[in-house]
Amino acid sequence: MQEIRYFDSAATTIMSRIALDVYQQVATTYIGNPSSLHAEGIRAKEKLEQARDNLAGLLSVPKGNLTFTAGASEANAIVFNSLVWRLQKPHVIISNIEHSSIKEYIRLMKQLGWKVTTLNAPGGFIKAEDLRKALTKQTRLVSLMLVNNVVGTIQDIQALVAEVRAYEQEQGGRKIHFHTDATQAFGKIPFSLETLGVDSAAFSAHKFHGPKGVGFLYNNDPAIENLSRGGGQEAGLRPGTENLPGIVSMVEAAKEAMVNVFDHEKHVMQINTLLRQRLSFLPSISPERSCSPYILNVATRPLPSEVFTRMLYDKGFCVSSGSACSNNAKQKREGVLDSMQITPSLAKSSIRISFSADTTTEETEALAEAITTLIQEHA
Amino acid sequence: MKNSTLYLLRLGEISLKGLNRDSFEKRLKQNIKQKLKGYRTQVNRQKGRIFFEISNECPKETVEMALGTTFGVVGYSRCLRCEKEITVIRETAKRLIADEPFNKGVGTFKSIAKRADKSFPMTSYEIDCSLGEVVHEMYPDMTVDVKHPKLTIHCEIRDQAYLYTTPKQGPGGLPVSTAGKGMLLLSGGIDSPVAAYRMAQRGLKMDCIYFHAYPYTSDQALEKVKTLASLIAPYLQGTRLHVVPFTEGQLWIKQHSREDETTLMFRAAMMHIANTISVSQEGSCIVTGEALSQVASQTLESMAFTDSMSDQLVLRPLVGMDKQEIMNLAMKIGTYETSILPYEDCCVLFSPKHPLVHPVKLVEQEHYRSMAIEPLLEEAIKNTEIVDFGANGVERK
Repeated sequence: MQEIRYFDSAATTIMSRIALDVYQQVATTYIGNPSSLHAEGIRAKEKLEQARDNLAGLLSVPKGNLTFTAGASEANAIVFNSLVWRLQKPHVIISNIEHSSIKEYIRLMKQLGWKVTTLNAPGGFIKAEDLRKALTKQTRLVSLMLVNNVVGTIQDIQALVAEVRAYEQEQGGRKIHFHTDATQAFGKIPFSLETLGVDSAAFSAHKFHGPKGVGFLYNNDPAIENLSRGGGQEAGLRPGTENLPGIVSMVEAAKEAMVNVFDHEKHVMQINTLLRQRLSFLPSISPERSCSPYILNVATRPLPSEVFTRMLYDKGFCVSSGSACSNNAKQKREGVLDSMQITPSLAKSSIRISFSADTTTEETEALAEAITTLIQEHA
Repeated sequence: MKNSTLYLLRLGEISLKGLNRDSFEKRLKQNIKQKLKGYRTQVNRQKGRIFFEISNECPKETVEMALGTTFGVVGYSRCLRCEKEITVIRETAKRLIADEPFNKGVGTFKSIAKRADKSFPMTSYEIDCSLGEVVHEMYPDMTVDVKHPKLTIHCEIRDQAYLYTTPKQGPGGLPVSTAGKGMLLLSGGIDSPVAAYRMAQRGLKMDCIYFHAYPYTSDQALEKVKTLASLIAPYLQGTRLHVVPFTEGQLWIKQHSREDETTLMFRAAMMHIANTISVSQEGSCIVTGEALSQVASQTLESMAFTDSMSDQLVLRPLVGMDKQEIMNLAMKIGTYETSILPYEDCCVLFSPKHPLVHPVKLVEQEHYRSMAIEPLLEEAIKNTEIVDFGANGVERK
């Protein structure tokens, strides 16, 4: 079989050895349900709370603000669904470059009669003044992502939160909930939830070498309600038996990522710079500044991204087609790149190359060569 | 035959045939038997009817699937046969209506008796009354409605008495292979499987041809086409899918033709290949899913040009159909859901921004010749891969 070189870590990462060992160990040793009253249940509960303690320590937040979920999509859903039960139809602000787990809510929200403002993000960045203009007396939720999953742009969430807080003050202090999807940020770029000042944030373990199907929600707003009903686990916010092996394994992966965040960032930055240099003949869609080094989005014009992705896979490289839109010119395009005001011809040929701390220089050189050859062949 | 179920099949258009009716009925019998291979069957042809008996080892669903997809069958029903004696007929009727669809015991019904054997001592009306009584005894809530009954009980007095309830619909038409053989251009879209259905309904046997341009079209697109071939295979009494590698051809055309002509040239090259393969497979026509003016390559002028690339007759059963009609039929035959899967059948790289809509045949023929693409196409034909699908829709390895 052909050797596979993986450049799609923004889609998912390969589980770390430690996380995998911990998963297996917890799955085989802690047999009880954390809600059970017997000793096995109590042991499991203790293990769960210990994991929460550890995670709270890593993030420097109160442990009561952490809810384990099945991933970031569910964490996002908990926040958005909380508004469903409100009697008044609120106003919500999101950006055009949010993940589909948030963008898909627009349709539901509109059906329910909410007002939704979708902010544009020219070049991948949301402007504070646009947010300011969009705020109204009815605004109850603002949700803007920290690191974009398609191009890697980092939003100045701290400044955006400051805008919202200033508006709250002006309007006499009525609370506006600020949520951020931090899935592509955790363990990759250093940040502090306290400094960002957000009310809630969503995370997913499999993006930082943890297991799939587990994540967490950080939330300090008591008004947030549960998505599903059930046995009262996770302080009632996320009912359902906790995925103990997944959670403990995730926290282990989180620790690994956080401890090494600066070293990893430095390493990935070098790789990113190397690839940018090698591919300098291609238009880069990811900006150089305020961008996660873990994601590099380039346009492989004239080849459509879907085709280029296949060609690269035939040479053993996994990348993503950068644009969420289809290659069918007849279809209406709604991709993130479109909303970033990237020209359609660039958007159609955009591929997302994403790295992890495990990506090597040799692999990257090989990828650069493969892309260069393909482009030369099809120029 | 012991431990068997009897089905009565109604034949539509076949009954109108004259001296050659026998060959149509024989083919229909073969086609049904082909789908139910491995089970004991016995077929008895009578005027306008086929009595078809199959061992109970064969699940009911398999039999119904076979009859429901075999062209030539207008309707079919499970049937009970008994002695021509009214008390026996009444007992048999009780057994028949103890099952579906009568067993719900509500709604309206009617009895239709027919006597092919006029020596039977009761008239048809008397038989109807007697059977109506049987239904009333078993299901007192059911009422008679002779104009618009929900359910019907049929009794035919022939060599024996045959009883059956409301027939299920078959696909009608003429048995596949009675009209010769053709080659279908199968693209992966909505239209071509429907075109196959329409032509098979007129008795045409078909192979399918698909042009694969990996990596410009994905392997998922090929898988989709294989799924479509397997879905239409029961209607076609099995089919052979020819997968032609078309990447080199497409690249050649892109390099050697004017941009606005590329789609036309693709179509022309495809027609050329389809023609060659069809001849080698002893086919005598090409079938496409084109509809007039649907896209640039389906205008009168474009179709006239692509036609000229084939010596064989080119049939376009959907040419005058509305898109919605085509989609409705695709839904009915069960190909729609697969057809709308989002895998492109042509890469955007090869689609001209402004394709030629009204080409001049002679000019395009000259342009096609000047590309000198034949050797590449011969190579593509040589490297064609074949996937066979049985009459049950399963891929034969």
